Amino acid sequence: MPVIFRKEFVEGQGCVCFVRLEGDAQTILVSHAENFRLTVEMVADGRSGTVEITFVSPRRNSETRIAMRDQILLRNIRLD
Amino acid sequence: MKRAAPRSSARRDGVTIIEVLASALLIFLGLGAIFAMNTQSLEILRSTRLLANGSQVLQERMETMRTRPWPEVANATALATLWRTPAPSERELGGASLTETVIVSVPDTPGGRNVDNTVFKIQRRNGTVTVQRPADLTAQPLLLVDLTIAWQERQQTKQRQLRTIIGRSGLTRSGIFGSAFGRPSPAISRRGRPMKRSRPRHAFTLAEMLIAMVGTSIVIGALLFSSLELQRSLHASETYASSQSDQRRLLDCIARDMRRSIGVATSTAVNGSGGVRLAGSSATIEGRTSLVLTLPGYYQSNTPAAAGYQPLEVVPANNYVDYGTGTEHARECR
Repeated sequence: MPVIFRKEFVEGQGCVCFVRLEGDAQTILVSHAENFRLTVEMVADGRSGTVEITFVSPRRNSETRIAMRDQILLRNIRLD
Repeated sequence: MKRAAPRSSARRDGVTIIEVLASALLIFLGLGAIFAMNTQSLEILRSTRLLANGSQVLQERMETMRTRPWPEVANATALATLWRTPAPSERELGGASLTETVIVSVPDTPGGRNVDNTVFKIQRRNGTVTVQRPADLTAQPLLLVDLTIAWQERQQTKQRQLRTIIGRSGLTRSGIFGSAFGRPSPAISRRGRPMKRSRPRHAFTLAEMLIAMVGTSIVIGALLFSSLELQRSLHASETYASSQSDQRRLLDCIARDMRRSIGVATSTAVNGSGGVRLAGSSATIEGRTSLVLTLPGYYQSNTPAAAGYQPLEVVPANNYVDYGTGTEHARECR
């Protein structure tokens, strides 16, 4: 069952949003996500990875990215 | 020839002491207002930072509970042992009389079935953990966890709360309650001291008027500039808190799906097909690139058109989350 996370323009919101798609169901996770950046890094065996989400600091003339990351261990490890 | 007698006007020779005092009072009032606004701005920024740190501590506690085996989180004594270790972000809150409380109960079901009123409660105050109400819920498949953190800030108690459902299968749902700007702030009285107008005994000269106008303009300009900067600072602070809350929610949602996924890939197709498996590499989800997580089939059907298809929505419309067994429902907690 694929679940898709995407950053796209949503007409109903009139802005770029982070959405989650599962089948026909679309859920808006974050609206006004223009400054958000999602990076996923997986280790070589594919059993764990790091998810990092950053956004640009709202301070004027600042280019600092505020980062939050989480290291994820996949619980349903593939055996194939 | 008669010479004109000089006018005996002392006001042309200088400024009277009353005028000097009035100007000084005006300037001091202006500078005092600027200082008060700056102090208030710094206080609001500090308060916002502490609220963000409070949320971070709660999230770390929740993540710790999610990673531990079920008997360590569903039993009061075992969880109290886990809570003796401080959260990594706790030191950023300072030693402001920190109190963490966790209440674990069994979530209600939509039809009121299998209602179990067993609850346990643990409190950690200034590093000392006490089990205030013991219980063992290891037999339960789902638990409603209510985390609260409170601290003292300028003789006021600030509080943040995080509520989530955790299950033995690791499926979770959470929401952070409260906002740095959602709760009423303490009323701040701005003491406007009435300025005594010292009525001059004589009319002002043009030079005095010009000097007074220039002085007043400078003070008002400084006040306006300071006020605008304060507004910008508050707006940036509000945006920061909002963005950080969005950031935490997005991370929590992706992490929840990723934990139970069997494959992580990226795709540039609209429907996520033809994905490239991520292994030993990283990807930034921007533009046409999507993150595709393959979840195991929890539902009666994985085909959207078929009967029994029930996608797990992040915010369900029917007020409950289907955890996939077909019989167990957990009420959505907002």
